[in-house]
Amino acid sequence: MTSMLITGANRGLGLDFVRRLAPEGWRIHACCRNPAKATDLQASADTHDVTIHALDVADFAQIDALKKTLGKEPIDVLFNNAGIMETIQRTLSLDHTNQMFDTLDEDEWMEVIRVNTMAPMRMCEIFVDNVAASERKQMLMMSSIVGSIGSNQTGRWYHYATSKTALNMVMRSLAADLKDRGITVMSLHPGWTQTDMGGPSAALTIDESVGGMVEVVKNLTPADSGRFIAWNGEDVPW
Amino acid sequence: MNTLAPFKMIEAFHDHLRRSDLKTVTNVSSIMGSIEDTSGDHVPYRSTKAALNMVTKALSGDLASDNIIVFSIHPGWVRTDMGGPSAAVSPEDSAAGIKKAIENANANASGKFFNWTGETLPW
Repeated sequence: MTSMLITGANRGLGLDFVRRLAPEGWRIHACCRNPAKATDLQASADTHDVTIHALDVADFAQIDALKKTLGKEPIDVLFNNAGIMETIQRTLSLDHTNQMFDTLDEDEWMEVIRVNTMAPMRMCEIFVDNVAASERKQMLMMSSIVGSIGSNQTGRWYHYATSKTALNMVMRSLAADLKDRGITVMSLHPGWTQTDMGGPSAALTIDESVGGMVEVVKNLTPADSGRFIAWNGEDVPW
Repeated sequence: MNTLAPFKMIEAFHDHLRRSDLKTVTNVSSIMGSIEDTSGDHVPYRSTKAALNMVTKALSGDLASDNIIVFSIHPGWVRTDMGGPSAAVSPEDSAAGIKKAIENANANASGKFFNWTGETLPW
């Protein structure tokens, strides 16, 4: 039996991973901020081996509490999927005026970095023994091409972009630090997808994005550790 | 300190840069912020320097219309309080290399990541 611990599992990409993998017999610990509102996720939990946990990744004490709940249970795939564009919920657009030059909002920026960069690091630190005790030994980061320095030609989205760049560095550092324990660490780029964040005019359906990423994840080997791979299997530049 | 503060400095002094001759911003980054070259540990320092390099690249696009040049530079492993006494490079040599990079900077240098000795470094 393969197991996954995934954050941000109540909607969008995270929910679709659960919907695809649970029917295949995966044991899934699905985390979200508010389980009472996660009715779509609950539907998977009613019929499959899916356990829902309340977790706001920005609150590191909650991560510690989840560790106590899971104890020493092996986790094959730790998936740091939860992420935010900003602290309010808005669809991705080109006019995020609070993330453009001449509009620094340091509290907002630090919160995005806390959720998108520091929380994945904390999750990996807290659950490293669970992952090391598993068969697959994989840690995944939901990154974005917006965090690719080499691909950035336009500025804007400074909070989100820098948080994902820093996340890729966390990933690369962990890949080096955890190599001796046989743990594979990598970043994913989901494509611009029709989620709440991506908006309805995005290029990819959730089905196309997650369908591609599931294949990437299932085919990962230790040789892939430290890579940044898009939904279609292509490497993304740093 | 390493990421937001440089961004804030550039925002705050944007108009001064625009009215200057060289119109150049130098962000002192580090090879430890190179995602390509990373070897693990020192994760907070590494990730904040990688994020600073993203600030450099993104600002080079945003400020191109003002002809402002923005680049990151790795100062070398320098015998400073941070680098320690056994570091490879003297502060004088490092500063001279950075000064040269600033003097030679042109539009092609904007959005790049240089070593103190002049060559381009990978993100």
